[in-house]
Amino acid sequence: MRKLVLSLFALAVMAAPTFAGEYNKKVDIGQKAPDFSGIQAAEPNGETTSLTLGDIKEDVVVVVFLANHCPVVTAYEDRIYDFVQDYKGKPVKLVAIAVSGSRTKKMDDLAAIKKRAVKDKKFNYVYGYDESQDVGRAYGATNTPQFFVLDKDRNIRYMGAMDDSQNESKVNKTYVRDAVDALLAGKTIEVKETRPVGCGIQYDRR
Amino acid sequence: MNADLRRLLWAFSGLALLTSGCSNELGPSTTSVLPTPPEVLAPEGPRAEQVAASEDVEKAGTPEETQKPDATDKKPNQPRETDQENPKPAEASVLLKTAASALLTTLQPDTPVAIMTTSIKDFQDRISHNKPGIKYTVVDGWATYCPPCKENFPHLVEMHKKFADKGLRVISVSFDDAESPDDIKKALAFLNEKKAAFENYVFSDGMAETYEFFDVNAIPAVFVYGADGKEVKRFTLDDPDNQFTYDEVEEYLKGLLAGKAK
Repeated sequence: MRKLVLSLFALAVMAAPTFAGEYNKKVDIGQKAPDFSGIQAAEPNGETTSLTLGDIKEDVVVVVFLANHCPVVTAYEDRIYDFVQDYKGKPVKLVAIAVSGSRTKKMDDLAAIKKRAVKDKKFNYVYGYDESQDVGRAYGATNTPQFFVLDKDRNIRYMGAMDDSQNESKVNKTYVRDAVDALLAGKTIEVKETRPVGCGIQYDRR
Repeated sequence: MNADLRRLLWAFSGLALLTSGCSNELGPSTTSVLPTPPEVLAPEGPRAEQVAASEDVEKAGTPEETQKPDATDKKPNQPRETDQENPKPAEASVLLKTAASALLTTLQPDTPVAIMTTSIKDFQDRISHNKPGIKYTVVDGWATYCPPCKENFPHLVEMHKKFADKGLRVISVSFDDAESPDDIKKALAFLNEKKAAFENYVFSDGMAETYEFFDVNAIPAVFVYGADGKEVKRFTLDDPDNQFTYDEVEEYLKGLLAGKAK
């Protein structure tokens, strides 16, 4: 009887429909991250490249949705830069994607990204622009900046804000760093999801 | 002397009738009192007629006034204008008009608007207690740091104009930092500029708490509550495939207030 109950339980868990996250209407923790490929992007030096999830070899991937025009993104740019610097030499790769709609396209598109890459030299990561906004839709991205930490199997293990304060001096909890550290150490992630904070992403009506 | 006193008494009872139908909470933006219907304010309204009619009676009974040609021509339901040709009785008409214009001033949209800092708990209390006549409450979440919110704010003002007299209570909640005097100043300046002549709040609990309470990641967002304060509908940007538009909000409210089940 116990075996039956246990196996039924296991079956139920495995067959359970995928619910969306607490703060995300499209994807959930533990779910396979939506694929993306051939996204037009800028190298840190401003040269053109393309972004494909399947090409990334590192164990841990951090996908962050950004937008040039957003003051909250600006507030996080140094922190994202520092994160990339701190994890150099570790099997972690961060990539950024802008999925801005027509309203802020001019400020956020690839030309603008390239210009800033060259001028400000703040991007130590590949930064793409998805004009179709499909990647944003697939990830259920609602804000910029919004972070998704993926494990070796490319399952989403953390999503939401980078930390608990827009003001760097007031940060107490570093959610993204903690999640990445936990994955690298083979430990469980304590905080798996937080509400993303930042500018809203406007998706153009199709 | 007697006639004057009687006219004064009639004027006062007329005033009492005028103010008894209104809530005693007059004031900009923190009241959900409906604007006084025009027929109550206008000189040719029924109450004015009442006063005029009584004056006719008085005039007829007073020997010295029957000589006045206007008095004999007057019928009980004559408009007020006729009365004004005759300076007596000045007291009634002046008192009535003063009261009417005082009410009008406080309810005019040109009065400065206000923003109130309140706790979330208090806010929940406020939207759960409504004056009779209020069927639904619409709450718009916005912030000074949100350009799309500011661009769309006029829609809320428009909804207030269109639906306030159909039983809709209109409220804005700023997702700004209640503890930043600069931000509150900016918020108030914006509300003034947009003529937000309704209730405007910001939560003392904090910005993050505000997002948590309304359970949204991004603003603008619109929430509709029943007269009991329970949420009946929300319009958000949180689903990329189904981000709301203000046209949808207006359509929805139109149907809701017309009594169509949705």
